[in-house]
Amino acid sequence: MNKIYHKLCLILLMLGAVSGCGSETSKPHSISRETTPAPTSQQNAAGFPVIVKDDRGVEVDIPQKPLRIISLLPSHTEILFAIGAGKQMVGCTNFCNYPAETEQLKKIALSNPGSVSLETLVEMKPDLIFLGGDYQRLLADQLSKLKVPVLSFESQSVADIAHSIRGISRATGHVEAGDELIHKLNQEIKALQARVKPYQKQGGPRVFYQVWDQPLMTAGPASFIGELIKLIGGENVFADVEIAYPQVSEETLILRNPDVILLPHLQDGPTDPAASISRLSERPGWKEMSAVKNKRIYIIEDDLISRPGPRVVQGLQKIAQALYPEAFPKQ
Amino acid sequence: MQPRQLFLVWRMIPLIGFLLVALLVGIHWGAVDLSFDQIRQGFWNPSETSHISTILWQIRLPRVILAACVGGGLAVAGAAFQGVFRNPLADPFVIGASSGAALGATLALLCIAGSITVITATWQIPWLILSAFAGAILVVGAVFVIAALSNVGRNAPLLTLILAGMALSSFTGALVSLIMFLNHEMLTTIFSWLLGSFSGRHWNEIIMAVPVIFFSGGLLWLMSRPLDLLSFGDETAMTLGLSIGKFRVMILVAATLCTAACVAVSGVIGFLGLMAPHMTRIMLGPRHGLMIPGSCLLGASLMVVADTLARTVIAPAEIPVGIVTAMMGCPFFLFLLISRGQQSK
Repeated sequence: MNKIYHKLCLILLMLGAVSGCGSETSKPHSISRETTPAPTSQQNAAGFPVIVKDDRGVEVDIPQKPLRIISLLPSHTEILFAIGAGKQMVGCTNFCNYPAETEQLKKIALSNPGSVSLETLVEMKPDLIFLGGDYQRLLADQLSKLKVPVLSFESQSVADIAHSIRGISRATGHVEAGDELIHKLNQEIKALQARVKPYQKQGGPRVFYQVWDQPLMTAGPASFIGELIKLIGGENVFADVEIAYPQVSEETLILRNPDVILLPHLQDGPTDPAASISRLSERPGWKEMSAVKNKRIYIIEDDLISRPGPRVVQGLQKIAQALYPEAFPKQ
Repeated sequence: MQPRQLFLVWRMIPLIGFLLVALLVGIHWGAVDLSFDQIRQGFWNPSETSHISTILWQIRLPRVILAACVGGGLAVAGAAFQGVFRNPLADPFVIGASSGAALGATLALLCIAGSITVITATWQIPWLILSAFAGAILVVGAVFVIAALSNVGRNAPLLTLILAGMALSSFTGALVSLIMFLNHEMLTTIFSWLLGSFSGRHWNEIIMAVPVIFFSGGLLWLMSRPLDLLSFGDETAMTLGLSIGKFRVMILVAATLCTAACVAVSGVIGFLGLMAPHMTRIMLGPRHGLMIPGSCLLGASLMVVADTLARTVIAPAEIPVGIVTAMMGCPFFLFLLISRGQQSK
């Protein structure tokens, strides 16, 4: 009898807890969505308070300069440091490995976009969290419900870089630095394009970017890497695929016969192009490919070309060097 | 052989024809268009270094052959499992072969990613195959040991096998999911392996897997009489003088071996091992002497067709063949079920 009573008590307690949680979370449902944009004349000298609208269409009111920022996207972390907001940060993800100062921040384990511990985040008392777009939509909404100020900016394409920089710099009080950075990046990209222009022939070199070997996967034109290849005048051999990272047919690859093969350099991966060439030529049918025959296989640091952040120019330069080695004579 | 059975052998001819047509279509169609003329020329000049003969000899032909062998192997294993367990729901993966192989392959992929990332060395594939094979054998072995240990009244060893297989399957499945979750940069690779694919398979895989498939499949065919008896139920089989335990273990081991070899080279391709034996049973009747080779032919043809679709539907991109077998097989299977139901009315 006693046991049953205990169990009953427990169940009742649990029920109470659950319903309590339910009523709490349902109240602040759309706090920021209906707020009207504040006139900019209200802003004080430092530019705060400020209202920033993110890619979800949510307008977030930032009353003063945020000093406990968390970034949950490596490219946003790089932007924050590039515009000089690094000192205002308290945390970043365990994938954020650039710049070196990220080592001093609290690293938040993020094995999967949805698997971050909300408790850990809330416990760090952030006054602003930066997130990616659709990829982390669910997380952004969950945090919004917990009344944590969240700004989500899409980070998928070259255009997103400028857009993210603009949003992040306004939210952190580094408007000028942000605008300067955007200007600088645009200039550098244009300079690179101008540099390879004289060497560009009809169509440009045919490029195959191998994301993975088993199954054979590449980056389509819809991906960030595909966009970079196109931007610098390369012709993606799988430009007709709509999927961003498709599994592709080896037959088609051999028939389309790429001039250049790009491989991402992952952590602890091989860096020696000679070894890669010998491995690739071991695959049946690959020996006849122009890229393998002419030893035009290049390994590019993965982070530079997969993160739409301020280091995009470095990545773009690596691709340009691979595609147009004659435009970059060795000193 | 009785005259009636001789007559039944004729029913195999459409299946052989179907397989030949499937092989031809599989060689003809692909992401790269090859005309029959080009195929004929490329076929007789295998040493020529043109694109056509490279594509034909190094990529398409091995892939079609491997698809046929794996399809046949899975179908035969499925037929044997259904016979032994007297359960129409049994398939090649029923006692944990697939989840064991998946765990082995996932661990191997993880180790490969840990040491040498981007580029395939030729030895990576054999290693993947071996660890998938080892994983399958280990899990199925564990299932047998558990079934032997539990020893519930000796009357329900089959049920214990299935239950232990299910339990261990979900356990290893959870391990695979955990590995996938913790290494989400590997997600696509492992995921595509779990869906099954013949992408990037060459002669190496054929040399390694096909002998095992043929050996174990042949063994199962040789045991088709005991399988017939077993499917009447244990008592009947025992009365007819069959040493049940010995044959059951032999059949299960051979079928597991066959499944493991298939899964090791192609990943987990579902539905075909369940569907092909049933379809063959509807066409050829339940005698294993005919049904096993029939299932083999039908499974091979269906797999070649499925892989051809997987290669061509969104070319030059590819989709995992496991998706195609399930999507293609299910409606056809249901149609056969309904039409059989109407025949028997």
